[in-house]
Parts: sequence; structure tokens; C-alpha cells
Amino acid sequence: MNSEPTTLLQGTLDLLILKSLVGGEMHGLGVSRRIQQITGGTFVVKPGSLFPAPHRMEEEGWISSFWGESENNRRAKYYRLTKPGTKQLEVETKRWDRITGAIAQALEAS
Amino acid sequence: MPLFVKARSLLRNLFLSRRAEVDLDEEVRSHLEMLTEENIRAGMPPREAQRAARIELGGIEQVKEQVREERIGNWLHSVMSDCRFGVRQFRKNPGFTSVAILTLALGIGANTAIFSLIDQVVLRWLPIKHPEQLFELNQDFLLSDFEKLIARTHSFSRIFAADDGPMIAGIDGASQNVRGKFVSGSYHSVMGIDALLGRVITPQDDQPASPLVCVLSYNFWKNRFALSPEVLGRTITLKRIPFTIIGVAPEFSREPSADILVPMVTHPQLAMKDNASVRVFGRLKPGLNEMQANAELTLVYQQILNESPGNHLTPAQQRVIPEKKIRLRPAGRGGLYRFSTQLRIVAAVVGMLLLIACANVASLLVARGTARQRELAVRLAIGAGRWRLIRQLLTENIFLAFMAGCLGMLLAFWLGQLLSALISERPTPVSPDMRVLGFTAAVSLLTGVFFGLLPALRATRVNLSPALKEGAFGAGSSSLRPARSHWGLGKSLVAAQIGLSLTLLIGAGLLLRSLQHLSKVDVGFDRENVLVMWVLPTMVGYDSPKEYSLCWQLLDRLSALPGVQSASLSRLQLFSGFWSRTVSIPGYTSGAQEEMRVSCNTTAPKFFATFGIPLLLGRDFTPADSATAPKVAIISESMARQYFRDENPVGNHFRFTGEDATGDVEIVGVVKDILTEFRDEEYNRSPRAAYIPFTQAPPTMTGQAVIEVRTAASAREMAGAIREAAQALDKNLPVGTVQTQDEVVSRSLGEARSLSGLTAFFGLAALLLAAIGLYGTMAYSVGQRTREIGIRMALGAKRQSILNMVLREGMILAAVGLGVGMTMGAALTRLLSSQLYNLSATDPWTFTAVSMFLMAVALVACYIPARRAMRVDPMEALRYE
Repeated sequence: MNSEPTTLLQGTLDLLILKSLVGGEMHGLGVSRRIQQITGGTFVVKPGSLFPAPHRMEEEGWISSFWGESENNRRAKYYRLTKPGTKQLEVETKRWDRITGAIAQALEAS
Repeated sequence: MPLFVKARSLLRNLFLSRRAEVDLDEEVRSHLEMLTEENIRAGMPPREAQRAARIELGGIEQVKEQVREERIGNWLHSVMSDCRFGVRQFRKNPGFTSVAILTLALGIGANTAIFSLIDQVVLRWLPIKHPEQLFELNQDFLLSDFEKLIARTHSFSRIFAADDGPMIAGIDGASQNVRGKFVSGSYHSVMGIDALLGRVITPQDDQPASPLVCVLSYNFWKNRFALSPEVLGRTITLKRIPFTIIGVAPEFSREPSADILVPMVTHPQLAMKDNASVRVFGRLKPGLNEMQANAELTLVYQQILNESPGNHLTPAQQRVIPEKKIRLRPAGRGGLYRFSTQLRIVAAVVGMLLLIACANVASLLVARGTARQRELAVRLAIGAGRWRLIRQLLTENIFLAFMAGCLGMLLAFWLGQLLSALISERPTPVSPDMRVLGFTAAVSLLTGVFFGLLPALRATRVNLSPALKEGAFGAGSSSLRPARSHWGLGKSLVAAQIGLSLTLLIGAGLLLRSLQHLSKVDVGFDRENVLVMWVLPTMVGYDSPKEYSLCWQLLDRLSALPGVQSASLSRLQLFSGFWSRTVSIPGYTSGAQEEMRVSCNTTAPKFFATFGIPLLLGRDFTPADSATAPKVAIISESMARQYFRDENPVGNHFRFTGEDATGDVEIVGVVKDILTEFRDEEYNRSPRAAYIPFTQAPPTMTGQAVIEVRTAASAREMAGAIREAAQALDKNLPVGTVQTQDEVVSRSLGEARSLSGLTAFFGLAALLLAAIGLYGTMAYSVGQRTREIGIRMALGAKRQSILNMVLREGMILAAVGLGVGMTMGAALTRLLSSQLYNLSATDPWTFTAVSMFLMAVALVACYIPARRAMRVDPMEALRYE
């Protein structure tokens, strides 16, 4: 795997956040670490730039939030996938597949 | 579901914003702590770990701001908080705020008033079906010609004729003045107006043999009959002829609407005798445009004119027929089809006033923006975006403009009364409605953006570090940089204000001077000691012989009154109305293009004595010049000179041609010229005049007359006696109010007076604004240079030279404005020339006087800050250092 961090493509951040929450609820820093982990380090999302996105997604109703305790007994804000969020993940996934499919096709064409 | 979530978020963001903020704060803090812990676990020392965490997160406030911007309803929230902040700012600066609001209110109010007027009289559609199809012809038609037009034109799908006329109605034995309206049978159905009660007028009612019927307008029904349904079938008399009320219908008209509608077939009996023509309206056929209709109708119209009965047209009149064109004008809109010149001028004036108000507030804002530099710099430094700041400043300004808009509405209401008096004799009440409110809101918004954007852009273009460093003394006043006034935005705005206000003042000056010319004009007759009063025998059914005997008796009675020196009458009131006729004179051949036109009037004996008009040759009329006696005339000096050269015209003959053509008329006298109207070029009115005995007038010029009484007593003392004399002869005789001839002449200046008055009022308001702008800018500049001035004084500058320095700076500004204003004035006042009497639109006297006045005001506006500069105590000023 390439270890160079890559800049995020426009519109992929929401998808990654949704995907990282599939496994269960998670606090903000956790999401950022999780993204780094599931993309094999390709995408490093700075916690600062990850901050606004969950707020917007919460207002869209895709995720919900609550205050909980972190691994080290700290109060932290946790995010969890909602039903519309799960549906949104499907939509985004399909859209992504379509894009990557199209790009791959384009690259294969001689 | 997501909608619900969104709505909840919006509500939370708007109303529970404090909780959301606490939440956000906590989230960021916990995030930071977790990052720190991670770093500690990775082996960093605690302080280093905290630092690294902060770096990784990015600026805390920036992150928070980013989150806030993601929130739903963020903009609404920020607008609300901007408004709150703005209100706090304005509270802190009540002086600035009230000046700005008043200034803008004046501009917005004046524009709202004008708009509501234009909307009412020009723009708004009538509430009828397809008002856009309805057109009026620009030429009036004789009734017989109207019939021909219906038969021949193909441009209209439906057509009707209408004519307004005052009437005397007898209701329950009492008589009262009403506004009557003659309509052809198709009127109601073409307009699409249904009866509220009973039925409307139909083509069957408009036949010669039909029973006489009338329809009441809704308003008249309401005011006179208290909406009683019993009016149906009742009889009222018009000119003593009984009419049956068949219905009640609404009247849609921007002009004061009629009270009683009668079929057109009664026009010849009921209308005033000089009124033989009617207005023609029609619905344009679908698919036709106005141009095509104009062409077709013009052709038909000219055909009809050529066929005019007996074809007693003079060659000159025949020549002008091809120039008589039909032009349709929309009749579905307000009553004033023309956007009159006066209204245009006033609209332009108030537009400029608003521009000045904007420039004024903008220049105040520029100064204030500089004063707020430190505040803005602090906000920029702690992470506010420039756009965010601009938005905040703009919100403040728009808020200001809306406050001004509210005040402006009130002002508009008051101004509206004044303005509507300007455009019509019968002022229509100006009522602000939704359209006007919308207009005001739009103007306020645009104004807010317009005056606020430049200063906001400028104020937020701050170089942070010097601004922050300086601020300790407030208002960026500390640096010793020679504030050698660079020609900035503020000064340009002030110069623009001065320029614009000078333009307005020049316009006002020209109008006032023209008015002054007008009121000094020698009209050629005595207007001070003559009382006048209309009598209208035809309205109560007098025929000519009865009318003549009434007039003679009345003149006898009046002459016998104590204090009366002489009494006479004429058909036309001097300075109100005209009657132009063509003549032919044996032995005089007219030039190819010459129209032999004279103004005509009918008079009783002693008319010239009553008005103090000298009889130069021959004799006055006498009672012997009766209807059956040989036709005679008295002509004016100008007419004599034009057509008889050096010959004595008395004893010579001439003829009236054209309409009401006559046989030979003998000239029995020559009188001095008089003026009957200030502007005579428009209607071919000329000092060439012919007077005929009222007993020898053509039928159209009988039926009414104005009584003229020469007396030393005042109008108030004589009015009662004059009216009594008339009503003693017939208590039903309709008479007008008693006025002095001077009042009549003055009233004809009413329009000019209100136009110049309004322009002067707005011009002075503009000057006041410009003076405030100049004063503000100079005071600000002096305040900023306090230190510099202190140093100059410490180094030995004389107080006088400081005064001069400041004055020079201000006066240069004023002079630049003056130059701009003169140029604009010279370009724009040309548009006024139609309103100027005997005065060039670039009258140097006016330009000079107004400029000097403006410079004097500017000098005062600069002198106050200059004196303050002169009194700067060097010790005080330098102690700041």
C-alpha cells in the first residue's frame, strides 16, 4: 500500500465518515483515526478539517450524536449512523461505484 | 423524516444557539484533550503534547467558525446577530444614527411619494377585464363623426364614446351639483361592468325615442342614497328633464369618477353648449398592434374630417388635416395617460435627492469606518472572514435603510398630499398600499446596499498590524504621518453631493426666477379691483333669449349696487380658457403658411372699462348691438396692425371662417392688447384678438358667462351682494364663487408655483445634506490632524494660517463640487426649458447667484471645523504623544 497521504476527493469525506460509522458509534477523533485505518493510511483527515462535516451530516439527519465516555473515561461526543444515514451510505456507495467504474473504463479505453 | 430533523436543527440553531455553542465548545475541548492524551501516550512531554495537539487541530476559533457556517439557518442566525450588533452600535452613536436615518428617510420618503403618485395616475391597471386591450383615441369626435367612425374602422372589436360634464340634478325637489357622464349604449358591456342593482345602460337606451334613464355610480348611491335599494324606478331631473333611475354600477376611473351616467343620446340637450365632441374608446382587436391601428384610424379620421358638414374648411384648415393623426393611448391604466413634464421633473429631482442622501450617508460611513478600523482589525485578527465582515457592515446599513424606510413612509404620506395637488386641480388622496410598501422596501434595500457597499469594502481593507498598534488612542489619530489629505472616497462623495445639490439648486433657481418673471408680467388689464363670478343659466335649462334677458337684468342690478363702478360679462374668463378662430379680411392676402388666427371672446358693454383696457379708436358695444342688429366686433391693436397696417380699421369688415363661420362683421372699435395666458405658443393664442357682443355669439358660446364687477371694495364685502343679486333673479341659477381677477391669474401660475416650490424645497434639503457632508468630512479631517496642527503651532504657525489651511482644503472640495454641479446643471436644465418663461435654461445670473449661495454655505460648513482647528492647544494636542 502506498503510504503517501492523498488529498481527499471532493464529496468523498461524507462517504468515508458514513462508512467508518457502520461498525458502530464513535467519537470525532475516532472517526478520523478510523478513516486513516480503513484507507490504509492513504487518507489522513486532520481532526480540524473533520470537525464541521459531522455537524452538517447530523443536520441532514444521517447521523445522530450523544455525549458518552471515551476509552480513557473522558466525556466525548459520539456519532452514530441513523436509518436515513444507512440509506445515504448506499446511495453514496452506488454513486462512487459508478464514478470509479466510469473512470476505470475511460482509462482502459485505448 | 429528514425534513423534520432539519427543522429541529434550524429551531435549535436559532433559538437554542447558546446551548449549541456550549456543546460545540465542549466538543472541541474534549477533542483537544484526547489528542493531547494520544500524544502523551506516544511519549511526548505534556506541554509538547498539548502544543502538537493544537497544531493538529488547527485554530480553535477557526474550527468553530467552520462548524457554525455548516449549520442550517446559519445565515439567518448571523443576520440576526448582525442586526443585534448593529442596533448596539447605533445606540452608541445616536448622533450619527439619527442624521443617517433622517437623511435617508427624506430621500426614500420623497421617492415613495412620487412613486405612489405615478403608480396611481400612470401605472396601475383598472380592475376590468383585459384592461390592456382598452385604448382611447387622442382626438375628440363630434357625435355624428363618432357614428361614421364605428361604421368604418376595423381596428376595434368593441367601441364606445364617453364624455364628462357638470350637471345640476334635482333630487326630491332640491338641486345639487353632480358630475355627470354621457356614455354610448355599449359602454358598460365593453368595459365589462355589471350592475350592482337593477341594470346597466344598454344600446336600446341610447336611441332617440327611448325613455330617459340614468344609472347611479356606486359612490353616489352610497353617499347620497345611503345604499337604499329603493332608488330603482325613482325619478331625478337633469336640467329640469326627468330621468328614471334604472340601476347602480361601480365606476372605475382614476379621475374623480362620475355620479350619474346617462345615455349619449341626451348629450346635445344636457351638455354645456360649447361641448359638442366626445371621447372615443375601444378594445383593440386581438392580433393588431397599436401602430397598425393608429395607421388605420388616422386614415378613417382624415376621411371623416374632409367630409365635415358643408365643408366650410378654410384652405389653411384643409392643409392641416394630413397632420391630424390618431394616436392610441392606453385607457386601461390610470386616469393620467401622460406622464406630465412636471411629474417627470419632480421624479428626477427626488431621484437626485436620494442619490445625494446615499452619498451623504456613505461619506458619514467612510468616516465611521475609519473610526471603527481598530474594531474591524481585531475581528479580522481573531479569525473573522473579510466577506463575513462586509456582510455584517452591509446588514447594519440595510437595517439603517429600513429604519429610514419606515420613517420615509410617514413622510411620503405627507409629501403625497403636496404632490398630488401639483399634478391635478382635484387632488387624489395618496394611499400607501402593498405596491407602494413593496416599492419602499425595495428602495430601502437598494439604498442600503448602494450607500453601504463602498464604505464596507473600504473599511474591511485593513492593514492589520498598524491598525492594531495605533488603536490605543482610538480613531487612528495617533500617527504623525502627515495626513496630507489624499483625495479619498470620502472627499469624492462630498464633492459629488455638492455637485448634485448645486444642480438641483440651479434648477430651482431657474424655476423661481421664471415665476418671478411671470408674476411681474404686465397683463394689460387691471386685475386688482375686478371681482368675477361664473353664472351658468344653461344648466337649469335657459334658452338664449331668456338667458340674454337674465344677463341684462343682472348687469343692471349689479351696476346699481353701492360701491360698484361698472359691471360687465364675458363668455371666457381671462386667464382661464381660450377660443381661437380663423378670420378672412378683404384686401389682405395671407402668406402661404400663414394661419389667420385670432383669439376671440364675447363681452357685454363696459367690459373694457371694467378691466381698465383703453379703447384706442371707435366705440364700445351697446345694448343696441343685439342678436338681430348688424354684426359688430372690437379688435385688438395687434390684430389691427397685422391686418390693416396703418389704415384705420374702424368701419372696415372681416369674416370669421371655419367652424361658426359668419358673414361680414363690422369693426367698431380698437382696444389695447392684453395677455390672456402666460404661455401662448401652445394653443395659437395670440394678442391678436377680436371681441364680439355676447348677444351675437354663436350658439356654442352661450349658456354660461363670467360676471365681472369693478369695485373699490374687497371681494369679501361684495361677494354676498353679488351672489344675492344673481339669485334674486332666479334662486335656482347656478353661480360660482366670487373671486378677484387677480386670484384667477395667480391660480394659472399654481403649477409653476408648486413646481418651483417643490424643487426649491428639495434643492435646499439637498444643500443642507451636502453642507452636513462637507462639515462632517472637514470636522473629521481636523480631528484626525489635531496632532499635526499642534506641531505646526508649536513650531510657530500662526492661528490664522491654520484657519486658512483648513478653509482652503474645504473650499477646494467645494470648488470641485461646484465645477461638477455647473457642468451637470448646464446639461440638465435644458430639460426644464419648456417650464421657463422668458428665461434661458443657462441663465448666467441664476448660475452665478446659486453658485455664490452654495459657496457661502460651504464656507460656513468649513468655518466651524476650521475654527476648532485654530483653537487647538499645542500642549493638549502633543500630550498624547
